[in-house]
Formats: sequence, C-alpha cells, structure tokens
Amino acid sequence: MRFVATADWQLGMTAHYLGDEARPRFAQARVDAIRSIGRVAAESGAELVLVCGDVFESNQLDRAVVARTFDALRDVPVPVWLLPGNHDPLDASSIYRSREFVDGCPAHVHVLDTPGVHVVAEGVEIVAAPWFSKAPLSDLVADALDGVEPAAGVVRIVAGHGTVLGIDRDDPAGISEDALSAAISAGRAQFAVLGDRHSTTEVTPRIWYPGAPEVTSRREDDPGNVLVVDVDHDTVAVDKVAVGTWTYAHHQAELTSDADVDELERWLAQLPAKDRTAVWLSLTGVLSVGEKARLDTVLDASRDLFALIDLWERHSDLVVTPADGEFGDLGLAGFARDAVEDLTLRLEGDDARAARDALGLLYRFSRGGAA
Amino acid sequence: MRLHRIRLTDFRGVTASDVDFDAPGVTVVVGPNEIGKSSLAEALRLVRDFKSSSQHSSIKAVQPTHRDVGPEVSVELSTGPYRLVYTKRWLRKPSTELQILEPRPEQLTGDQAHDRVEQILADTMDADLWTALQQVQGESLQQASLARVVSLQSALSALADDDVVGASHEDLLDRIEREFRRYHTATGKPTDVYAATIRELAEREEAVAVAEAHVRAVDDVVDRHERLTLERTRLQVRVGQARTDAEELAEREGALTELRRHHDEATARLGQSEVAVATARSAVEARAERVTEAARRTASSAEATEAWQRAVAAHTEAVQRLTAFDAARRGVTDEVGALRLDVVAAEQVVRAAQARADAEVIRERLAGIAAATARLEEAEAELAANPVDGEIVQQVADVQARLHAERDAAAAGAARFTVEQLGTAEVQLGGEAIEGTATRDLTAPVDIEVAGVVRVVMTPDDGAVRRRRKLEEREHELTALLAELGVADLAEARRRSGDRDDAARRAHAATVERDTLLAGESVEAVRARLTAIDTHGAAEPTVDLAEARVMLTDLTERLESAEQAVGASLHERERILTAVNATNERRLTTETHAASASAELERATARLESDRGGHTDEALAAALAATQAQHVLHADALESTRTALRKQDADGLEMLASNARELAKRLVDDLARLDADLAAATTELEVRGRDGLRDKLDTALSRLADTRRVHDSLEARAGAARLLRSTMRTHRDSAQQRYVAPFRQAVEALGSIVFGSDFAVDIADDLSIRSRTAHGVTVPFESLSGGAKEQLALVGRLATAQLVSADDGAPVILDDSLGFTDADRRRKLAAVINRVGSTSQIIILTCEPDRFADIGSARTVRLG
Repeated sequence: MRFVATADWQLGMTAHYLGDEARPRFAQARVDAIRSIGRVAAESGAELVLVCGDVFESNQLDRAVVARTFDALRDVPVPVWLLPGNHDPLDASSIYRSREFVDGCPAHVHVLDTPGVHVVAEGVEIVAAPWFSKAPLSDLVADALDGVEPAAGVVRIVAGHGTVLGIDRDDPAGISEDALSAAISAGRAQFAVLGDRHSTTEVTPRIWYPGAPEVTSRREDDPGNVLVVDVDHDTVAVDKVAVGTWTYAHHQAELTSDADVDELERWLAQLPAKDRTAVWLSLTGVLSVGEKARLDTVLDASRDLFALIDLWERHSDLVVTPADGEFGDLGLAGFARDAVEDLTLRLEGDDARAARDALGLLYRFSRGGAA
Repeated sequence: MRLHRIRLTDFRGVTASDVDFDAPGVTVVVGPNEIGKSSLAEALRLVRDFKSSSQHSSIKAVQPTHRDVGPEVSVELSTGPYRLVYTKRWLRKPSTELQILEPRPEQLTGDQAHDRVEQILADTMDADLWTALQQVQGESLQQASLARVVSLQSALSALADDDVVGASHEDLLDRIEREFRRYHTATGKPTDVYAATIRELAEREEAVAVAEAHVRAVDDVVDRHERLTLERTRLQVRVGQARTDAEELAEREGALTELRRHHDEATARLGQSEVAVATARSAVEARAERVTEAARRTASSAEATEAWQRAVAAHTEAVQRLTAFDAARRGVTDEVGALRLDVVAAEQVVRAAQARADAEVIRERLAGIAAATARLEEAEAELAANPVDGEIVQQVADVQARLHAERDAAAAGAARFTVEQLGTAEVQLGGEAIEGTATRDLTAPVDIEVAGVVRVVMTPDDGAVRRRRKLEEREHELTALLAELGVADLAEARRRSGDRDDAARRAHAATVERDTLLAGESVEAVRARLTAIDTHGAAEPTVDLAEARVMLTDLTERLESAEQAVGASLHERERILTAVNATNERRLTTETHAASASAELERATARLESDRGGHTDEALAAALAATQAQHVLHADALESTRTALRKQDADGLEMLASNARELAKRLVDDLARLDADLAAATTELEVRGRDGLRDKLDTALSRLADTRRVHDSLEARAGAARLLRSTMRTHRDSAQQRYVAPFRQAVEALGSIVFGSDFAVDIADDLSIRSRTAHGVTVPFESLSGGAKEQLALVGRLATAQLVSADDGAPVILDDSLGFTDADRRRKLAAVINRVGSTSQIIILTCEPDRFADIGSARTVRLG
C-alpha cells in the first residue's frame, strides 16, 4: 500500500519577522505546498494523502483560509485524510466544525474526527488519535490502539500527533514509543505517521515524523519534505521527497578581517532562491571600524535580495575596535582624537553597541563618506 | 605693529603737532579737550581709510574752520620687518607719500603708496588684534572682541600643552550635528519621524496586547466549554445515581408506613387515657374538698352561736344598771323644780319695787323740762322785739363814717372866706346877720349883704357844688336808717344790740337744759312711760327693793347648785346608756352571724349528701385506680412501637430519602444550568471563533515587527549620533578650556593687583570674560558695576597685549579711559599699565592727565 505521509501544514501561519513584501509570499507558499503534495501523490501513485495534525495554525483563523485550502486540495487527485492536532484540536471552537468547513469540504477530503479505526479503502485502515483539546491528559495514540487486534489482509496506519516519549517525558500526552513499537511488532498496526515535529525524523523504520512540507521556523533541521510510504505486513519503504520552496538558514561566521567579510559576502551570494530565503547570522570575532563599516554595507546590500537578513543577537558577539592608525589617517587631531579614544574605551562598556555605531559614523564622516 | 611718531598739520584745532611714542612704553597724550585728544586716534583711522583724493565728510570734518588749508597726517611706524613713514594730505593740494626705511629703503607716492601700505599692513598686522586693542572713546565698558584674533590664538596655542587648537574640525562637527538633528531637536528630544516611530511602537505593542487578550479570551471560552462538557458528563452520571438512590430509599420508606401508623395510633390512645386519668383524679379531689368544707362549716356555726349568747347576757346586765340609776336620780330633779318656782316669785317682787323707783325719777325730769321751756319762751319774745343786731350796728357805723369823710372832703376842697363886721351896719351872711367875724367854706352859693350898702353873691365852682350835693344825700341816708331802727344815734343802736345778744344767750342755755333732760325722747313719750308705771306697778308698796334683791340672789344660788347636781347625774346616765346601746348592737350582730353560719352549714351538708347520693367515695377511688392501670398499658404499647421504628432507623431513612430526592432535583437543575452555560459558550465561540482573531493577532505582530525594525534601526542610529555628538562636544569643550587657560591666567595675574589675591575669572570659548569672582563672590560680567566692567575690559586688553609676541603685537590705545574708576583702583591700574608697558606699547589719549599721573614710567606729551 502506498500513500503520502505529511503533517504540520500550519495553514494560516504568519511569519511576522519577515518584511512586508515577503510575508504574503511566505503564506502563499504554504498553500502552494498542498498542490506540490498532490503532484507527488499523482506521480508516485499513492492511494491517499494522510496529514497528521496541525493542518491549520489555529482554530481562531479567519475562515477564508478554509476556502483557499479546499481550493488547493481539489487539485489533489487522491483522498486526503486530515487529523486534528494540538493547534487545531476538535474543541468547541474547532475549525473543522465551522460552517465554512462542513459546507465546503470536497468529497475526497475527510477529517479523522473520532479516535480509533477508520476504514479508508479496501484493506486499508487508519487508527486515528485526533486531539480534542490543547492539553490532553493521556497518550492519545495508545488510547486509540486500545482494543485494536491484528487483522489479516488489512494494512493499518496509525495517525498520531505529539512528541514521542524520550523527547519530552513531562508531557502527559506524550506518545509512548515503546507501546507504539510493541503494537506494530504485534501486528496490530503496520506503520505510524506522527505530526508535531517539523523536521523529517525517523523514529523507527515504521514510525516517522514526515515534518512540515514548508519551513516554519529557523530552528528546524530538515523541513520541507513529505514521505512516500510503501508498506505492507512484511516490508516497508519510505521515500523522502522535498516539496518546500523556502529556506531558513542560520549561518555562523567568525569575522576578524576584510577577508572574512568577503567570505561572508561570497557565501551569501551563492545561496539560491534568495527571495525565498531567510538568513539569520551569528557573527563573532573582532573587526576594525572600517571593516565593520564594510560589513554593514554588505549586509545592507543583501537585505534587498533576501526575504530576510537578520543578526541573531543572542548568538552573536562581534567586537568592533579601531585598528592602529585607522583614525590617524583621517587627519583627526586634538579633541577629535580624544573623542575617538573615549569611544574606543566605551567599546568595552555597557553602551558598546552605541559606541561601535558612533565610531562607524565618525569614520564615515571623517573619510568624507555619505552622511 | 608699533607707532613711533605721529605728526598732525592743520588737523581740526591742531595747527601743528608732533608726538613721539615709546615702544615699548606708556605714552600719555594730553589733548586740549574731548575732541582734541581723539584727534590722534582719528588721524590713524583716516590715514588708512581714505585716499588723499577723498572728499568724504569725515575728512571735511577735520579741516580747520575758517582756514583754507588741507589737513595733513604723517605716521611713522614699524610692522613686521618694515619701518616706514606714511604721509597724507587731503582737500588742498592732496598728496600721499610713503617712505619705507627698512628693510630696504623705498619711496612711493599717490595711490601706489596707499596700496603698498595696505598690502604691508595686511601681510604683517593682525587687523583683528589692532581693533581689539583699541578702546574707542565712550566704549570703555565693553570687552575687546577676541574670538577671531589669530595672533592671540597662535600665542595661546603655543602656550597650550598640545595641538588642540590646530584642529577645529568645524566641518566634521557640522556633519555630526546634522546627523544628530536628523533624529533629535535642538533640545535633544526625538524629531517628528523618530518620535512618531516611538509612539507607533507603543501603539502597536498595545495592539498586540489587545489582540492577544482577544485570542486568550476565546481560548478561555474553549477551556470553559471543555470543562463544562466534562462536568456535564460527570453530572449526568451523578443524576442517574441520585435518582436510583432516591427510588430505593422511597421503597424502603413505604415498608415503614404501617409501623408508623401503629405508632401514631398508640400515641393517640395514650393521649386519651391521660385525659381519663386526669378526670378521675379531679373527681376524687373534688369529693375530698366537699367533706372538708362540711366539717369546717359545722365548727364555725357552733362558734357563732356561742358568741351570740354571750352578747345577749351582756346587754341584759347593762339595761338593769340603767333602770337602777334612773330611780336614784328622781329626788334631785324634784328639788330643782321647787327652787325654780321660788325664784320666779322673788323676781316678781324685785320688779315691782324697781317700777316705783323709776316713776319718781321721771316725774322729776318732767318738772325740769317745763322750767326750761318757760325760760326759752321768755328769751325768744325778747329777741322778736329787738331787731338791732351786730350787723345792723356795723351798717350804721359805716354810713356815719362815710358821711364824716365826705364832709371833710367837701370842706377841704372849698374856698374859705371870712366876713368881718367893721361898723355897725348889719351884715347878713346867707340871710343871717353876723356879729364880729364869720368864717365859712364856700360850698354853695351864698349872699353877703349889707343892707343898702352891698350885696356880694359868691358861687362855688362845679366840683364844690357836686361834693355838697353828695354830702347832703349821705346825711339823708343816715337819718333814714336811724329812723327805721327807731334809735336816735349810733350809741343807742349799740346798746340795743347788746340787749339782743343777752336774750339770745339765755334762749340757748334754756334749750340745752331742756334737750339734756329729754335725752332724745319727746315729752309725750316720757309722760307715757310714767303713765304706764302708774297703771301697772302701782301696787302696794310692801317690800323694799334692796331687800327683795337679797332674797332673789339667795334663791338663785340655791337653784344653781341643785341644777349642777342634776347635770352631773345626767352625764353618768349618758355613759350607762351608751354601754346599753353597744351591748345591744353586739347582740344583734352576733345573732346575724350565728344565723348565717347555721345556713352555710346546712347548705354544705346538703351538697355533700347530694354528691354522695350520685357516687360514693369508694366508687370514685375505684374509678381512678382503673384508669391509671389503663394508662400504663397504653404507654407500654407506644414504647414498643417506638422501639420498633428505632430499630428500622426510620428517622435516618427519612432524612436519607428526602436528601436523595432533593439531591436528584438539584443535580437536574445543575445539569440544566450547565446545559445553558454550554449553549452560551458554544454560541460565543460560533460568533467569535470565525472572526479570525488569530489572524488579527498575527497582523498586529507583523506590524509590531515592522515598526520595531524601523524603531530599532532609528534608535541605534540616533543613539550613535547622540553619543558621538556628546563625546565630541565634551572633548572639544575640555580642549577649549585648556586653550583659554593661559589667557585666564594672564587676566587673573594682572587683575589680582586690582581686585585682590582671590580674584578669578571664567573665560568663555570666545575668550570673553563670562564672570568675575572676587572675595568669594561670583558675578556675571553683565551684572558688574560700570567701574568693574571698565577695569576688567582694560585688564583683558592688557593681558592680550602681554600674551601676543612683540612682533605680532599692536599698540594698546585707550581713548578716554578710566572715567568710571575711582582713585584707589586707578592707582592700582596704573601699576598694571606700567607693568604691561614694559613689554608692550600703550598709548593713552586723555584730556584729564591726572587720571594717569600714577603710571611710573609714563611719558606725557601734549597735543597742539
């Protein structure tokens, strides 16, 4: 049995850290990902698409998102099964129970809205563990599997959402990996697709996190994929297919010279699809005032190209200090030279950043640069 | 630059004057007056400013009046390497000559000379210093303007310990200021764009907070909904449980109903038997009461009868005592009766004797009355015969007196004449012959006639006639009155009046006597009394009155003593009678009581007998015992049913059942309320869930991020500009302070001579003196007195001259200085000027040389 496993579409999510221009493109990319998934399903000959939780970013979304989602889903040629997760639980405000969803839902789209076995095709069953609140008090997957016995000739796929225990032991809703593995070993189910981790992760050969099809956070290791899963009682094959179009890059660089600045510039230049790439830089090292001025120029130029260029302040420690003779060559004398010394001393103090910027300004003005 | 010599010719009031200056040194130039002394300063100005061909009004102003000559100025000076003589004449035969003496001799005339001088001065002299060191007349209170004096700046730079001054960095400071002003106002507040961003950031943070609150509010509703749903499930279970409990308990309660009915009946029976026992007991008690009453009545009846019998006995005894007393008393009463008759008889005797005595007295009275009456009648007859009383006598006397008076008056007012018979011929006067002489008053016409010889008729005047007539009338009146009275004259009238008075006195005495005897009674009444006595009492005159009275008194005394004895016995009788009455009353009362007690006894006995006829005492006692036994039986029955109920825990069961019923009801109500709450939550979610609150929050967050980016960037840039600016300014100011230090020191060194050893000044960046401190008090320059301002300004100029090297220097020219300074300070300033004069050239223009007399090395020259 072949199907496409995916999760964490997070439709309706807004990346407020992006600029005005990039933000709507980023949002649109999440909808476009659905169509990409449809193409993957068609090309791989999958029987269905299973989305394991967090289809929507929140239950409190403008219902317009439902219409856009259905529009994209109509382009998916196989049945699509949606599991409510922690972001879109089946609580009283559930988006799945909204008039817009119920009235507009295409025939091939189904919500796994009850825990337990759903027969989805001839010889194919999904054991669903949907979320009914944001903070369940038990292992929903184990609950869903309770009483499910092995059945010959039926391929069962567990659809769950949440962290597997071992990742967060304090979470009462954590999924017991041992119990899940035991159930699969006992033949009560053949494969488990889990949502909640946005990076594609293999827990066991038969337990996978497909991850988000489009990146959502700079902390994710391997987002932007869906899984094409081939599974039966004896064999399992998982094929990771990249569908994401956006890249979130976290780049660390140590800068100590103009050459390092050049290197950073080159690194930025070689990145593909810059308009769909957000870069967080962690910069460390020591630069002269002149070198820092150049770094600023490089970064300012990059900002025009990339969806985002940002300094990850918490992970950065870039020291700027006037190089020997750096200000001496600028013809500063008397009190101006005293001021440079004063500001240089301040680079060690509480207002280091202001002192650094002040020195940069002075450097620019003295050299006759643009104000 | 130094001045060596100035020669003025035909300049204003000066025809010719040649002044040499010490260089260095102090030269005091004394002018003839205010205008004259300034001629030198003016000459120096004009010689540079105006070409010899100039017709400027300033030039014309210095032309001597009434003389057709051109003013001429010749100046010898040295500047830089040059020493030169420069001569100019205007208006008449204008000319310009320049003779350069050093370093290379050179001679020039006309405009060439003028231009060459200007060029040399521009090359070698600091024009600003020249201006600064000239203290113009009338401006001695103003400080020299030193800000742009380059030679002073170089001197100060040379003295400062670094090259601070060399780098002014004006352009750089301007750029920094411009950058600063992109984000800040002049006072350091954020500019419009920056401020707007700060405001926007706050607004958008607020918007995010609001949006988050909205999302959280819906989350809360979702939570509530979930909680309510859970609660509802639990509640439904509890409702089922409660209903089951209630039903089971109701069933158990049904089984108890029969037992409870028995209990109620037994309770009722016990109540009835209690009533029966009470009735029987009260019947027994009523009977005992009746028996007791009958016994009591018997006793009290006997007692009353006995008391009655005692009272009857006492009464009988009292009556017997009265009867005995009355018998004893009868003798005394009879004696009193006899004595009374005797007294009456004696009284009659006394009365008769008294009547007789009374008649005798009356008779005597009547005789007295008759005598008095006779005297009265005699006197009254006398009075009636004599009418002349005192009043009439007085009337006669009055008329006579008036007559006499009128006669005298007539005589006094009339002419008196005397007729004397001389011969023998008869002389008749008034018809009467006279003999000898006759004197008369002429009161009426009178004839004097000597028959045959003469007749004289004399007529009195009218007044005399009137008086005569009146006298005659008065004489008639008196005569008539006397005739009427029947008397001859006044004396007789008086005698008659005395007789009359005597008769009147007698009449009065007789009247008094008669009235006394009558004593208010009429004569008839007195006479009638006598008649009465004569008719009645005129019996036999047997007994004497006194004797009769003694007898009566004796009898009366005896009667009184007898009557007293009777009175005493009567008193005793009253006492006895009272006792009789009291005992009689007691008898009657006790009799009534005895009868009443007897009747009560009869009634009580009758009632008891009647009751006993109904139920005997024994029957009643038996009935009470029977009902009490019944009551014990009923109490036992009730106790046994009660025990049975207790065994079943009936009360507990009832409580449980009613509680279960109420619980079930309450839980159902709770469930209904819960359903209502759930419905409300659902409705709220339907309404709010579709609003896209999450999208709104995202939008708010995005906007906030946008603004924060702009804001952070602006803030960083503004902060950098602020820091750079403040750092630069701080260091520039401190450099400036280092730069002005030598100037300050020079001013303080010179000024301390004038203002005292603790003198200090604050020097501004432009080298002006900002404030002065002396004797611990700091005062801004503007607030100083005129004298202090003048002195400080002078010290500033002198310090400047001192600091600038001799080659770069210029003369200090003071035109009319120290006008505001007192003598003491002038002396001190003289020392300062003297000191500075040892290295600099100082020229003082004045018309009051005394002001500068104390400058030791000064040389004084006179102008003109």
